Amino acid sequence: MDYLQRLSKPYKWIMYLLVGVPIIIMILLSFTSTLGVDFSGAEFSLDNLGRLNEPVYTQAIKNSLTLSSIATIICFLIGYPIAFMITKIRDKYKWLILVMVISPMWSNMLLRIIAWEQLFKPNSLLNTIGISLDLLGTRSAIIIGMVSIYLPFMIFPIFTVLDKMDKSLIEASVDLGATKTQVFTKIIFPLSISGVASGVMMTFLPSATAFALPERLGGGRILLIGNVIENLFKRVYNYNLGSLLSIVIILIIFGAMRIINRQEGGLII
Amino acid sequence: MKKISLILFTVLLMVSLMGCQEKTTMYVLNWGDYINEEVVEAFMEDNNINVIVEEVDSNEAMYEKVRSGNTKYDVVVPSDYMIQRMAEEGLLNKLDRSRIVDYQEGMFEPAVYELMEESGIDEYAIPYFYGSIGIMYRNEYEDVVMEHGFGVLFDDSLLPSNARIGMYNSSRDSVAAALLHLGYDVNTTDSAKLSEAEALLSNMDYAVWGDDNLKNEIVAGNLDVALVYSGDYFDILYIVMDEGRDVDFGYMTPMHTNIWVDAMVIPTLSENTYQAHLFINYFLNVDNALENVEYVGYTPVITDVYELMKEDEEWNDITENAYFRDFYYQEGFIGQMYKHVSLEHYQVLEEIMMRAKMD
Amino acid sequence: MMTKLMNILKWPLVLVTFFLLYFPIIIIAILSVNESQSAHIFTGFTFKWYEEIITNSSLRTAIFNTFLIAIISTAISTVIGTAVAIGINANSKKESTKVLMLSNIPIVNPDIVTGLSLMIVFSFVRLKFGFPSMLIAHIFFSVPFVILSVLPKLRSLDKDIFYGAVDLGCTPMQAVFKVILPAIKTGIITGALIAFTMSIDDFVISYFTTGSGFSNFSIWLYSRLGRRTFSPAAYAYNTLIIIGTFTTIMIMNLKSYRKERKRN
Repeated sequence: MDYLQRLSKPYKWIMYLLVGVPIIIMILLSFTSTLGVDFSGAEFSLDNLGRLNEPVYTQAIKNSLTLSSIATIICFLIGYPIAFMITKIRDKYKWLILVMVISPMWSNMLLRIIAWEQLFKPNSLLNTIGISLDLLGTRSAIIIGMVSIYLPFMIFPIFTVLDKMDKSLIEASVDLGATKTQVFTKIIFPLSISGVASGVMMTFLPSATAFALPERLGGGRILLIGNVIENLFKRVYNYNLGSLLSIVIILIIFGAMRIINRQEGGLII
Repeated sequence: MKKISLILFTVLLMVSLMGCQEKTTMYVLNWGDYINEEVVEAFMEDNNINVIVEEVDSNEAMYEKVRSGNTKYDVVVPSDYMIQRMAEEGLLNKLDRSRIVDYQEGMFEPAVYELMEESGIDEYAIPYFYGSIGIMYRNEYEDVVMEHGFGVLFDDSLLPSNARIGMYNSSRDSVAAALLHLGYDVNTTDSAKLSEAEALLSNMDYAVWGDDNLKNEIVAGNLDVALVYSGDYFDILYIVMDEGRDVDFGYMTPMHTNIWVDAMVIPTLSENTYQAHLFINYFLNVDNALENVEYVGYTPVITDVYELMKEDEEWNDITENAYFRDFYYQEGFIGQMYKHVSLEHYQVLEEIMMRAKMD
Repeated sequence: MMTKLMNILKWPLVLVTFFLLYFPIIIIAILSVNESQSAHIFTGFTFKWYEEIITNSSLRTAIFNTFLIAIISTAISTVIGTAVAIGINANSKKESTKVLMLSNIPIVNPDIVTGLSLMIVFSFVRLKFGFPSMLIAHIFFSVPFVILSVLPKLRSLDKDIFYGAVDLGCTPMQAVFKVILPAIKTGIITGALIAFTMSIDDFVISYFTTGSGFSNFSIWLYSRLGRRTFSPAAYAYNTLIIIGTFTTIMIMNLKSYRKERKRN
């Protein structure tokens, strides 16, 4: 045991450093006024905490959480059945379908976003086949984009769990008289929860904090927390408020994750 | 014995190879594709100096990279207000004019140089390119835009109700356009004036808040008018002309507007200030500058270079466009340059823009 | 009733999924053969952008850098991740939860926070910004994915397999390499694939941890988007990646399929 146990110790300490130190710095930044990361001449200040209440920030947080929740739910409603269907495919084609699901992820995200923009603009390439929508700058456009990008992240973990499921459990329940619906609701779905939790996490988290996607598909019109934080860090050079907002959003997300995990038996974090 | 002699041999080899690397390497931080690589290569050959150009897409990124000192850049090309900020924070060297031998008094275009002298950044920077912010429009709206200037961006009665208006997704530029329309100074911190500007922005429902994509959408017809940089306009103009497509759009800026300047500076952390001055000087040579201007396509800062372009028939389409250069020299034209006010001011501007976007 | 509903929805769902996943890919492919640089108008069919991938020096360098970082970081993070996963699996529940939580943080943190954090730490220790810093950053965010892929496989292994091997005369090293690793092979491969995917497409973290002019494809793209210097060669490169991946996996699949047939 000793030999194997030792393999993870150095990693633990490196991670404490690489993860813990920045968090401490960010907490310090949140409650002081500094020039970027330069702490000389820093003063303790609760200003930023007060700023949090401003409508722009609360609306940005609300917008982000709402849009990513909707996108996550849609990803789940589409992803779960798809994952289920893939498990039913004959083994030799299963791999092919999985590759087809994952290969769009190898495509650069920014380019994919630009491609979606073409669909949403009134004048675009698609006019040649008679399509002219006017959806750029709407919430729907952002949601469609999010689903497109994050759907594979939902499908994969669910598929992995469903695929590994012990078929004999299903057979046994059918033998004991369960209807197809009952088999699903009482056996398959509960056993797949850990996959669902993974998928939800890998969809909700990045979509809630994304900035390039909502900025472009939302036509820059919709306030989202990812863009607000990015602007604070990059354009206004306000590392203090930026750090505070980042911590707030991380806490909110962690909180939401914990609630999900508690209900499903705490498997991931 | 064998092992020792092998190690000794390797060490000697490495040391001798290190000695061979006498060529200095200098680092240049610039905007994306904002310099003619062939001119840079010529500089490298003429002076036996290695130049590595790194690209960023914003002044703030330049600031962060220079300040952090992770790479000790020798020449950086920021914009007006950022140069002022860097200078105030002690990040820049004052230029040693004696080392810039090709500099002559009066060689630069007054519209840009006078503004640089006024804000004191001429001590730290040599101008590189300049231009204005203004309105890009689809030709069918030319008359309205010519008559009202920035007004078309803030008064929705001037254009048809289904007109799609684009605003620059930058707090500084969007507020500046509003301030200019109201007749105020673009660098004002007066909260009453800023509130007025905010009211103008909030009132309008812009189809898109964008940056580089605004010019593309005007050309595509997805936007009817938009606030853009003169550089944006020329960028897309060249592409459309090269592809032989119709130019059904235009650009204008009013008599009171914002002038932007990008200029070369030398950070204090530079370890090759001698080479840095040589590099800057290289672009003051009229032939090199002309080659660079013909690649980048923006308005030249050296008067002689502009004169050469005017003589070249191939550039007629551009030099005859008033907004390339001549408009800025009309009687009564007033250009205002951005100044670095304070970080708090940027925060205020950013929140104005965010509130304007709220529904 | 439920099954009837499912059956009706089956094909629409598949179509919607295919559309959502592949619409952008198809558009990018079309734009890659568009004569015009502008995306709103198709002026003609051409392959010239494909040529430009090689002739455009800054793009070429950016692509090379992207693969360099992706391959090296994937290799290193797969080794580290597998080792750590084995360590976690062998430890007490308390210890392993601690390490797991730490390892999950890069995954759940927004990219911008990870990027900024690493930038802060690297500045502190005066690490050279450029290839070394970007490489370490990529390894940092890839290792957790490898761990998450390998761990479930490890958990399904018989606990005594290691000791069995040692008892039968293996040194601990031999036991790891000859017994454990082959058993968790699929987990390692999946982990490596995920690490590679994350590295190839990364933008934010790379952006904050680079310097000295070292750009990857995403940085090249972002700094030129919408400018005249943006080149549809980017679309061409992207399309080639998709085609290349597909072909490789198809060939690999055919190979293993033929192997199966031979065995039978």
